[in-house]
Amino acid sequence: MSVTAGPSQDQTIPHEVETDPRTDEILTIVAKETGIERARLVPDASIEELGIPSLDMVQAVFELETHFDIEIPAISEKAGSEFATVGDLVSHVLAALDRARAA
Amino acid sequence: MSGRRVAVTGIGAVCPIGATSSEFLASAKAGACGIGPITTIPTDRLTIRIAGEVTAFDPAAHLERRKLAMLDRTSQLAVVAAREAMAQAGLAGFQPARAGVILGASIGLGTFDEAYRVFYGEGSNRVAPLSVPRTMPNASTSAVSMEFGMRGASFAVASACASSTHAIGLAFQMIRGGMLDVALTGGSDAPVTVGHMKAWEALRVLSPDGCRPFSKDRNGLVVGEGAAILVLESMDRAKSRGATILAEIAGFGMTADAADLTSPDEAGGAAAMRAALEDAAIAPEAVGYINAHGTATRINDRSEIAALRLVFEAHLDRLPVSSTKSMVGHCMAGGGALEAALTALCLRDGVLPPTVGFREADPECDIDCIPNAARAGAVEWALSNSFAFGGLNAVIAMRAAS
Repeated sequence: MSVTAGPSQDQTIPHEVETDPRTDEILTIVAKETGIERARLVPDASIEELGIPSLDMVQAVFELETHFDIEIPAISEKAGSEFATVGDLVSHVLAALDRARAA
Repeated sequence: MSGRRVAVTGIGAVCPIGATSSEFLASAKAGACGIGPITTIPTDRLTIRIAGEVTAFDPAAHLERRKLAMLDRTSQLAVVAAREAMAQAGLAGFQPARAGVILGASIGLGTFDEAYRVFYGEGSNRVAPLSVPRTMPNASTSAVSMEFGMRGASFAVASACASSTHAIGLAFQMIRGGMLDVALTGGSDAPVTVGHMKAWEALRVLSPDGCRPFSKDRNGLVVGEGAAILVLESMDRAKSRGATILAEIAGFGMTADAADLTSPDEAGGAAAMRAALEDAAIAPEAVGYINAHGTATRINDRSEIAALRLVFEAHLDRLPVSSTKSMVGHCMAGGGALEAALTALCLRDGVLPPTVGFREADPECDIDCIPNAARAGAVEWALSNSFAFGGLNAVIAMRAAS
């Protein structure tokens, strides 16, 4: 059976990941949670190639939710590998921040 | 491995698609799904609002008031399922010291949630006195042993989502090895609580809209609750007392991935299946059905199919594989027991249970998953897989009663 529950899935909204002032704040937290050097967390960097385990990513997203006091919706159809690149992650978080601000 | 043969002579179940094992089987044959909007807990703070709940279960109808108060829902489900299993087995006159209870460890999550909600949330300075005995991981094991006066080796086994499969495997080994003549084994869980659902949400692996194992559009697991208890006894004992033999447990394999805390490792799963086949002394080609772990997360299903391919190679193209979780959700410490129970009942009836909710073939899961409808299929050998968080794998090899 199919049931609709919870908020709709995030629509990808293009963001200027490189220029948005919040990107650095986001990536500083990601660096702290994943133990990956901040300088390596560039938008094009592949999460897989950086070797970030899925649980570390889950923990980083949780810390971002706590830090910004927002809910970052899960991309359930990609569970376990929601973000292919650092840019995908930042873009998803920025969209959640924009929605929280608009609400 | 040599030793006594082990028969399944009774099965009880309480799950989202049946209040008894016969209802569970009938619903599975009909391709029913017990997953739906959550009704047993407040959902206003939940993002994910579906689960597999046992909505028809009225504990007060089964348990007297004092016992009810002593038991968390997880133990209540276990006792009710155990009664059904014992009644079916007609197991009277066992020697108490030679009878044991070995169940999957399951803490009383609802009791925890409520006790600490009152303590932290409402600022009460008291925690209910039965919180400790209701939440100990062996609570359901102890409740079942007391219910039937079983005084032999009894304990709870912990391996997250594989707990009740490990429990059945150990009960099988203890009877085979001569340490027990009779065992009540399996497990239960009642994890649909607000706090626990929030914890699962934070792991970002829950589906918002349904459990669709092996389907290309699968998007995560669905939490479920339920219990299944099996009566195991030595084949000689079962035959000499004229018991109806539902199935035979003939092999057990267990391994640890020693890799990732939550992501499965195909080599570990494959090794557990090989160990079960070796223990049962059968070739992969002898297996006619696999009850998969099948959680419907992208990673689990892909990894499980890869593990199956490692073990069964070309035989996998002719080997039906289905997921009981598609019908009942992920019943955690009760899941493996429900899956083993359904496997045994389907072996008896010559039926292959379906994977419901299936919509679209996935090249990463190139198997016959018995999509959406059960079908007839007389099979001699089946495996039931459980691959838990923490990388702990357990596989039971089961044989149809001859």
